[in-house]
Amino acid sequence: MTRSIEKDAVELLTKEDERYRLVRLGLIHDVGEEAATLARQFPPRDGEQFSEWKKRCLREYYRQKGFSVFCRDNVRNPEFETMTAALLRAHLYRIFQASCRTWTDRYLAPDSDTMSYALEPDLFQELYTSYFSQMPAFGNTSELDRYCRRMADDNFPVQESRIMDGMKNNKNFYWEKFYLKLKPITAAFCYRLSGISGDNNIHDIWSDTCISVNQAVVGRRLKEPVDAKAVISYSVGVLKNKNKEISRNRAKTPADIDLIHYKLSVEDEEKYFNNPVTKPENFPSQAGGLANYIDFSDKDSVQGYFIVILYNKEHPLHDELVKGYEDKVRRMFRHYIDGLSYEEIVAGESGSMSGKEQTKECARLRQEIKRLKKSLYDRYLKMIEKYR
Amino acid sequence: MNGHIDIRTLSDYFLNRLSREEETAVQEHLSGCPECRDRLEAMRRLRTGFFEDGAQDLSRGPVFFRILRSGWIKAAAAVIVVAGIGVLTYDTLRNRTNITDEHLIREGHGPKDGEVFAIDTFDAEDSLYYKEKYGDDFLKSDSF
Repeated sequence: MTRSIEKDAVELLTKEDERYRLVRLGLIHDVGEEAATLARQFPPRDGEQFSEWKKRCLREYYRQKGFSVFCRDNVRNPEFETMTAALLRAHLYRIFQASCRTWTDRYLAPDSDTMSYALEPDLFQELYTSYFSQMPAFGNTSELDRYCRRMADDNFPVQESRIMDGMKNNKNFYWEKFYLKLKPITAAFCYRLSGISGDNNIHDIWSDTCISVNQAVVGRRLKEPVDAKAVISYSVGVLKNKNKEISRNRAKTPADIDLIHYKLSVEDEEKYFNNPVTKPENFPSQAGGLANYIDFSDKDSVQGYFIVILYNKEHPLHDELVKGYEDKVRRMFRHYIDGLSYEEIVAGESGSMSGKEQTKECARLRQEIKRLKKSLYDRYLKMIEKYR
Repeated sequence: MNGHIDIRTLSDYFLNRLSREEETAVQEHLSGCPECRDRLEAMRRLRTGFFEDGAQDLSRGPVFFRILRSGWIKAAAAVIVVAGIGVLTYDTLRNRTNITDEHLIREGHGPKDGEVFAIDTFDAEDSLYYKEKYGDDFLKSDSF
């Protein structure tokens, strides 16, 4: 297969734009035009590997564009800040995947999620101010990327004391994660102690426990020093009491409740979670760990993940997203992906029609796609809230 | 990279979740594989169709300006004009009725004994007038 330098250059710059938001930040105006220039000015040399060519031509291209000055000029631009946060998050995700689970995460974060490698907004602001107020001159995006990687390496995992302070100061960022952590634990305890199962049936106990733990931590009612283990232990105590109450209401003696401890040992993990009713994947909130994939504060990230679910039929959430709309989605794909006009789609599906009928049918199809877009996106937003 | 890029890696590439090295490896594969490039382009086209069309809708500006530009403004203006004429006409007719009533009163065709006349016109101004004339007790029944 022969390579097309123009196409390669378009792909390089398209990806650079997607990753570093070059058009929106105003460094370039048209990716196609810039790619044509890049291909013309920096063709691959004889025997040059793709990776070497990419490195050389992007280095030269950004030097010509004055990337260093551009970064300095945009350091206070919120879009530049968002882009930097996205780079940092991508590095943190990779570090999190490659590292051992911290004890803080084991006690406080949902199974597939992290607090230790999460970019809490206030923490990002601190890091951004400290690292970008006196930033070095970046010759190209690769250097900016490496700088963000260094920020991630130097400052993560976040110290347990800092996370605890965040929880004491009632930061939703940490509490939302902890509430999700509590859900399968609530399910496990309720099933073992009171025989209650199912997401709906445990919901009240779970939310009461969340409120109790939050009030105790935020109200500084736990004995200092409060660490991650103290928080999970207190939560388990609340759960035990709630189950005792249920047993009392059923007029049964809660004989063995006090004997059960929540330990994060392999045996306990097996006993509580490796059970068809209570295993974490049966709880939608634990499935997939969307928080690792989506940065909910970044519109690009939320929209990008929507496209991935919609396009990829093998994605675990695809069927749920398109359920009931399958035919309409197929027609929408023919319009947006295959590039067929409304007239062509109508003609392909209904055969030859009179002019008036065809116009009517096309208008109907256009309306259908417009409504479908709204319905699908609304459904997606509900889904990501549910699976967050 | 042999064969084709799996959909998960392609999705991660689309979402900017790969490292620079992985990204370069994917780009090298895309350079020689039109099939994978088509799949990636499909996702990009879908995103453009889905969100950039919507962005146009969103960039149309606030509802007020859209209403101003639409044909409805003419209809709304017509309704306001008609309503305005209606109100003026009603007011004129009502004033005419009041004038007629006044004539009737002057000519001795006023309300008979025990009938309440114009009680709804007794307002703060009247109250002050009667206060000045009869003092604070003017509302007591024995002061009349």
